[in-house]
Amino acid sequence: MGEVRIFGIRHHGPGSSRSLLSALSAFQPDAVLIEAPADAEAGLQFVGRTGLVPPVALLVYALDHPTRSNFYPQTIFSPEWNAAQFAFSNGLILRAIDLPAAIRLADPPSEEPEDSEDKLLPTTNQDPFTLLAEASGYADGESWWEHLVEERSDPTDLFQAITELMTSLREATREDSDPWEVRREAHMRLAVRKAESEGFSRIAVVCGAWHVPALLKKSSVSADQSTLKGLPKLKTTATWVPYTYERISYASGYGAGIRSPGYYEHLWHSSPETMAQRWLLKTARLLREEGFDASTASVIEAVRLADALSAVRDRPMPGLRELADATRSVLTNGHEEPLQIIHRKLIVGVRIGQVPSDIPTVPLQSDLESLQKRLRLKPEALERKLELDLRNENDLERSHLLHRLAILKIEWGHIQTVSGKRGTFHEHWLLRWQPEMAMHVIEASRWGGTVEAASSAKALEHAKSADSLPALTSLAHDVLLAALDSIVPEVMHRLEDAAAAATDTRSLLEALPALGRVMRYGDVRKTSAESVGHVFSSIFVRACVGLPAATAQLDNEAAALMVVAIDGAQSVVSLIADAEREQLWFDALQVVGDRADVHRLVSGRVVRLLLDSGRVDSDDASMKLSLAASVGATPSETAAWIEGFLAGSGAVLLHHDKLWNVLDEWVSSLAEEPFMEILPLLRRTFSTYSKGERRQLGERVREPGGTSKAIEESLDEIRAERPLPLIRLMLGIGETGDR
Amino acid sequence: MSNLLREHAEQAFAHELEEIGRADGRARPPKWRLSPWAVTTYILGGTLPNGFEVTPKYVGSRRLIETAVATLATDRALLLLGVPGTAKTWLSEHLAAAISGDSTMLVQGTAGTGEEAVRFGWNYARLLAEGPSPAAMVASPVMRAMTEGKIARIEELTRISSEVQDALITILSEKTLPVSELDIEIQAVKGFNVIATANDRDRGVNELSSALRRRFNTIVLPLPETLEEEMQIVSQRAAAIGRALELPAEAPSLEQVRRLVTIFRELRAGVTQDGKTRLKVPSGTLSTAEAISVLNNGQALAAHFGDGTLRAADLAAGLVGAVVKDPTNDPAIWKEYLETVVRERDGWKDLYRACKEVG
Repeated sequence: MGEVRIFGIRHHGPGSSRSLLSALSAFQPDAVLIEAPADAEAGLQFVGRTGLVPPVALLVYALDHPTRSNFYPQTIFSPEWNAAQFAFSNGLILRAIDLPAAIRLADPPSEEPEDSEDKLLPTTNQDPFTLLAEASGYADGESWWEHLVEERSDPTDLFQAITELMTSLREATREDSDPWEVRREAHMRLAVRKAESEGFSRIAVVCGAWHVPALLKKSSVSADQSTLKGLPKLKTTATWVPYTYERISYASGYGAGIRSPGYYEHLWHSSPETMAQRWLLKTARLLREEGFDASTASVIEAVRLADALSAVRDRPMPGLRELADATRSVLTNGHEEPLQIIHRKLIVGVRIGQVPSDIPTVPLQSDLESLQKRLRLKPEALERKLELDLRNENDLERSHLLHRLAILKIEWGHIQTVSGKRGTFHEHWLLRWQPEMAMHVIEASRWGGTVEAASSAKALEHAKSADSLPALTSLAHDVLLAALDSIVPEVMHRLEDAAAAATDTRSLLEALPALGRVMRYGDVRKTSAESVGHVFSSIFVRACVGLPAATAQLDNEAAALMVVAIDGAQSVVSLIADAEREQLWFDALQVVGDRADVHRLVSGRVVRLLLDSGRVDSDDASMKLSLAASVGATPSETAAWIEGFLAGSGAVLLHHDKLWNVLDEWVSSLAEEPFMEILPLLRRTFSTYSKGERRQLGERVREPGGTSKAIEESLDEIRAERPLPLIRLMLGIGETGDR
Repeated sequence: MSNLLREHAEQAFAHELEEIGRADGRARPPKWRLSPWAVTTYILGGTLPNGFEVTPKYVGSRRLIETAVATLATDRALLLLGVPGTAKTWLSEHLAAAISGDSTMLVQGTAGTGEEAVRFGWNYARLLAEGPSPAAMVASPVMRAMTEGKIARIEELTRISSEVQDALITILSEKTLPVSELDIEIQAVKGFNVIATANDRDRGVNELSSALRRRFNTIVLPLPETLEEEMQIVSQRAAAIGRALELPAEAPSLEQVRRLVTIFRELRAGVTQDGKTRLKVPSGTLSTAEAISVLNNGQALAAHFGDGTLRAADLAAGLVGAVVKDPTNDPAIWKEYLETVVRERDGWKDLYRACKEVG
């Protein structure tokens, strides 16, 4: 019978790793068994492959349900990773002995994907580690373990001590009733026994400390087998994906749950004597890079404080808590903001792992590849233009794909606004595939296994966390363009809630254009227009009601933004063509136009919109203009009104003589000083016009008595027709059917 | 009971300090009366091995106190920073009392604090009669602390003018006080250190020069984190002050304290405790210290003009005064709060009516 030794570790514990490595070389095993799902064993063969650089994660996913997957992250300081490396470099047998993910994933996850894989602490109500830690004066179980195990430099007898401790702990707490824990431990026991019966003589088992007593427990093979009997299974496959420290530190469903991977890596790489100094030096150097003061003298003081703190707290040496307190007190003078940088860049760390290209990849990637193939959309590094006609089924799907990828922040395509062909049936994209997008695909794979599922999940998550109306509006817009129909109702619901709570009318106005476009072109894009319609009208009504109050008392900057918002809303009002809604809108504009406390830029704009839509006639408009230009107003106020009124197109002046005359009179009446003052403002307005328009206006000035008809009459048809043959030739169109 | 109006920390808690000293078997830094561990216990309270109960002097994060004590143990000066009423002075007094057994080496920083308050002055009569000599010098609290190896306290450091502040640099970095007139220097003995306090709310303060700042370890004292924590502080302190002033009133009921602290916290945070209603924030700081003084005020009223039991009416007068600091905006803010929150709350009718009466 062979010797089995069980090494209880903490997942991702650098101290555990260090002790484990020295214990393994002392033990000289001929087989290494680690706590990883048995069906991930295929992935373990890649450990030791050059190019596989941690942090990486072993990903096990169900072949037929790619969304069902579990990540098992590994870092350079993870005991399992080091055990696997040890086995690889000594040519030993390496096995994964935990319950196969195939069984785990067959049980549809109730909420979040399972995370017990990477948890030190068990899931009993009264966490025994915390009780123990509190008894010895630590804040929680994690920091207690940290000091006792991870920051320990002398590993002798550590594993024996852990085994004894865990045994008495598990005896003292009631047995875990979680059926999954029971099954996992049964599976591990069976796997160890199997290795024994195969004749290995020195077997090293590396597993979470909590499981040690269970693996030592004498339990009959048949009992364990019956525990595992008849459990449903899925077909799974395992692969490696790059991982980041940031994700390891997420308390998200994939477990790991270590809060300071960057700090752990530091522990792993440095000797205990110089650990604190090196850490504080790194901190100081980071602070300097970020533009904060951090002198060498301060580092010395910080080291002294950290040492003194560990003495006050009865610790053999400073730990992260002491280092953080010393940093706060000495290096950042109590300021919080640099501490956040330190947390992100040092304590969590910014490392990204690598996986060589010959290792097969994540389900999202394969789904993307199959979509690319089906839609004949090859990823190319060179930039290329793509014009999509959305009436065409294939193009529509391509558009959906690109929009979905954009939601997942895989920015393969950038949509272009092409003048002349606005909206409707066409979309212009600029495509460029960049190598780091492969990484983004993997990053995005946590949201789901297919492009549609992942983008839906991510957008929904955003919808749940976003609370500002503009954020939700743009999200809703993206979701509709990406045709994520399954989540449209939820997003619309959130949007409506946010609109109800919104007090900022401008953001309501700004929400309208995007929604309006969707309604208008909904049938082309096959999006569900009716779900949008309800939200649109509710936002629209709120905006109309709030408009008069929202336009009062604005400063120049706010007024300019308000004008843009009003213009945007106007553009959809005319798109929708619903008389009742339109009336509501123009009534609100009327009120704004009549009020005196409204910024002139806004009043001018509003009057123009009313004039363009025929709600006021040119007599009214010129009266308003002369009111705005009357002595009561300062020249700059008048100029603002005119800017609002005339912005975009000056044709109105050519067609309405009255307006022309009022404006003309006003400009002529200005004294030199105010004229010089407002000249730049007027210039700015007129410079937005097209060249032709400006020329016509100039000509209009030259003949003061002339009317607008004079301009039209001046068109010489015979001369105008002369260049036509040449133009036809250039455009390659025949004369047939023309004119 | 002594007839002093207010006792120093080392007088008021002499018994506790003595008990802790007896139980404290750990290593003490030179000239320290207690070990760092015992100082922490004195400040945060706890039970000694012999069962003696130490009352908590400061309610809040253990980490902060440990960092403060460790700072003083490394002979670095300590700067306590925070908005008014976050127990900076209180903490510095108790730290000095526990470490040196003497919290009286105190410099109160004001715009008029001169160099002689930080370094030394001259006894001019003697100076004229005998010429310059060490005997003609008048030691400042800081200088006395240096020669006796004790903790010197500087209150409101940022209110002192920059030139005077910088006189501290030599003292803190070289631990010496040169007297150029006599060509001598006064070197600090072991055990000397400085605790300074400064508030970061005041406008028009004299920012510390970076040279001076570098010589301090900074600890920012926060406002109490939870309602329960703040309740504990307020009721405990109010009771203690009430005792000292020999107010015959009963201790305030927890319910009154809770209402008071709730009002302070809500107005400070600009949102009600349940997170449902947004509130405007008045201009005052509404610190815990002010809550304590409102409570004391109310107790005094109850004792001398009421039946000895603290009632809503006794609280209302002080409460309105504490909230309404700026006569233009605060009254409207307070009225809005009164009408929308106080009025609607179950069991707060008496307080509502009392506040309405005050105005």
